[in-house]
Amino acid sequence: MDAHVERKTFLSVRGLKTHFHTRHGVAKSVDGVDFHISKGERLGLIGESGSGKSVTALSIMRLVREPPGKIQGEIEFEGQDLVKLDQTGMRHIRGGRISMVFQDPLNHLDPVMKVGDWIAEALLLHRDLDRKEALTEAARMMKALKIASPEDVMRAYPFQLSGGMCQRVLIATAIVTEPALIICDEATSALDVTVQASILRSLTELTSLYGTALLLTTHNMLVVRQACTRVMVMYAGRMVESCDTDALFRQPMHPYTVGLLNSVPSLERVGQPLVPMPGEPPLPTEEIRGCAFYARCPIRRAACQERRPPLAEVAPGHWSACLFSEEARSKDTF
Amino acid sequence: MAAITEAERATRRLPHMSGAVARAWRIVGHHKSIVIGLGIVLFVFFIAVCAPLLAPYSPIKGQPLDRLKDIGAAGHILGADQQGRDVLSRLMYGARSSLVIAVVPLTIAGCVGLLLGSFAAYAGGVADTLIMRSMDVVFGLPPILLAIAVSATLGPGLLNLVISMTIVLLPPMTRVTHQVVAQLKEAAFVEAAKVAGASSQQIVFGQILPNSLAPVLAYGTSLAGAMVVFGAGISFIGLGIQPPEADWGRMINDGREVLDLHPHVSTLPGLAIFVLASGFNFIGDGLRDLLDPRMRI
Repeated sequence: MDAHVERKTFLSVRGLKTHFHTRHGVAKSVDGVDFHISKGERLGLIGESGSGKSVTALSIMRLVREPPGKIQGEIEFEGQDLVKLDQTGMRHIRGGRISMVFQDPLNHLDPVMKVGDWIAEALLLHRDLDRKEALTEAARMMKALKIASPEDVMRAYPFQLSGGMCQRVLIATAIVTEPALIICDEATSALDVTVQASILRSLTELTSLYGTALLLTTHNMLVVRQACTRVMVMYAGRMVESCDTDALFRQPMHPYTVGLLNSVPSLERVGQPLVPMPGEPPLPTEEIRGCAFYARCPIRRAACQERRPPLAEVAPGHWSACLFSEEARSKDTF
Repeated sequence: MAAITEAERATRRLPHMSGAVARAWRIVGHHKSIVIGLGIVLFVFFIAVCAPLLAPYSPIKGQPLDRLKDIGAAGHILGADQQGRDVLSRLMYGARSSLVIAVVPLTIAGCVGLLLGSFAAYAGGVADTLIMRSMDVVFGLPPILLAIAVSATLGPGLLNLVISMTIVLLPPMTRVTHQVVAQLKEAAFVEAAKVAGASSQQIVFGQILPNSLAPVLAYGTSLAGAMVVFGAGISFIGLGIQPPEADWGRMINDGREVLDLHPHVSTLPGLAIFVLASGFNFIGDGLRDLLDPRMRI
C-alpha cells in the first residue's frame, strides 16, 4: 500500500471476526476480514446470502447483538477503535460519522412520524440547530436527491409513499448529517430495476458531491458495476477477491467470482447459456479446513484441502484467495 | 351570456360543498361506528354533568304518594320506584358513577400498565420476568371473583370500587402494552433510529411510546363497555355504590322485588347500562378498524 492511499484512508478493518455463540455451535459469520476505505471511495461488498457481508456492515456500526455475538479484531475509524468504543461514543459515530441505509425502506421509517420530521430528528441528534433550520436542511437534501415537490413529501407519512420514495427519504436521512461513510446494506435489493438505477445514480452523485465514502453490500453484480469503484467478494466469512471494479469484470481471479459472473446475464455474452454454480456455501457453524470453496470448485486440487488459502496479491492491486488464480482467470473454467 | 344548464350549476356548487362540511361528512361516513359511539358517550356525559340542572326531582328523596308509578304517569315520565323516587332523575344521577367506573380505573390501569409493560418489555431479563409473572398471578384469578374479593376486603363505596377495578384491569393492560412494545422493539424503524444515533431513552419516547399509544388506547376503549357492566354488577350484589346513592346496578337490584308487576324499575337502568356499554364498544371497534393498516385510505 503506498503512502498516498494510506493518508486518505479513514476506515481500516483488521482481522475482523464476528462470531455468534449459539446452541448449534459457534457461527463464524465473519472470520478474519481485512479492508480499508479511503475518503470518497465507493466500495462494493458482494456475496451470497450468509456470506457475512451484512454482518460485516453491522459490525462496523456495532449493531451486532452482544451476546450471542462477539466482535474481535480492529475497526479503526478516524483514529478510534470502534470495537473498543463505549455506547455513548458509538452514538456519536452512528448517524453522525457513519450512516446506514437498509433494505426494506418502508419498515425502516417510523409509521407515526411525518418523513420530514424523521429526517429533521436525525439531524438534530448530531447538530445544534433549531427545528425550523433542521426542516430547511431536510428539504434541501430532498431537493438534492431530485425528489419532486419535497414539501409535499415531507408532510407525508411513510405509508403514503412508494418504496423508491421511502428509500430516497432514508438516503436523505443518512446523508443530511454529512457523514464520512454511508453503508448501504442491500439498499436497492427490494426495488425494481429502474428505480434501483435512478437511486444508485443519485447516491453516487451525492456522495461524490460531499466526498462521502460508500460501502455497498449486495448480491447483485450489476449494482456493483454501476456504483462502485472497488469491489470485494466475500465467501463463507472471508474475502476471496478484492480489486478495482473494472478488473473484476474484465479478469476475475477467483473461481467463485468467475462462477458468479457466469451465472448473471450480460450483454457481452449474448447467446451464451447461463451457467449456474453447483452446490451451496458451507453453513456458518461448519468447521472449515482448507479452502471454503473446495466442494464447489471446478479447478480444485489436493493442495486446496491443506489450509485455507490466504488473500494474496496476484496482480498489481488485485488480490485473490486462490492457490491457482492464474488458472481461474481463463474464463472457460466453468 | 350563454344559459347555464342545471347540471353545470350543480358542478359549480360542488367546490363549496367540498369545504369543511363535506369533509366532516366524509369522515363521519368512514368512521360511522366511532361517531355513533362518541355521540352516545358524550350524551351520557352531558347528562351526568348537568344532572342537577336537568333532573326534575331529587334522586334520593322519595314522595310516598308517587310509589311505583308507571311509565308515562303525570309528573314522572319514566315512573317512580317503591320509595316514590323519580326513575328519570335517578337514571341521570346514576350516569355519574357509571361513567366514573368506565373511565377512571381504565385510565389509571392504562397509565400504570403502559409504564410497567413498556419498561418490562424494553428492559427484558429479570425485570421483565418479575413484572410479567406477578401480573400473570393476578391474571390467573377470574376478574369478577377478584373484584368481589377486593371490594369485600376494602368495604363498599365508589372509591373502593374504583380501586378494585383498577387492580382487575392492571394485568391485561400491562400485558397488552408488553406485547406491543416487545414487537416494536424489534421493528426495523427502531433499529433505524438506533443507526441514526438515538439513545435508548430517545427511542422509548420518540418511537416506542408514540407507536404503542394507539393500539393500547384501542384495547382500553374496547374494555370500557365491559367495565360499565362489570361495575354495575358489583353494585348490584351490594359491594359497590351504597343506597340511597343513585347507581344503575343498584337500581336494578332495587327493582328486583317488583319485577313482575312494575318491570320498569329494573329494566330502565338495565337499558341505560346496555346503551352506554354499546357506546363504548362502538368506539372501541371503530378505533380497532382505524388502526388496522389495511383499512387505511
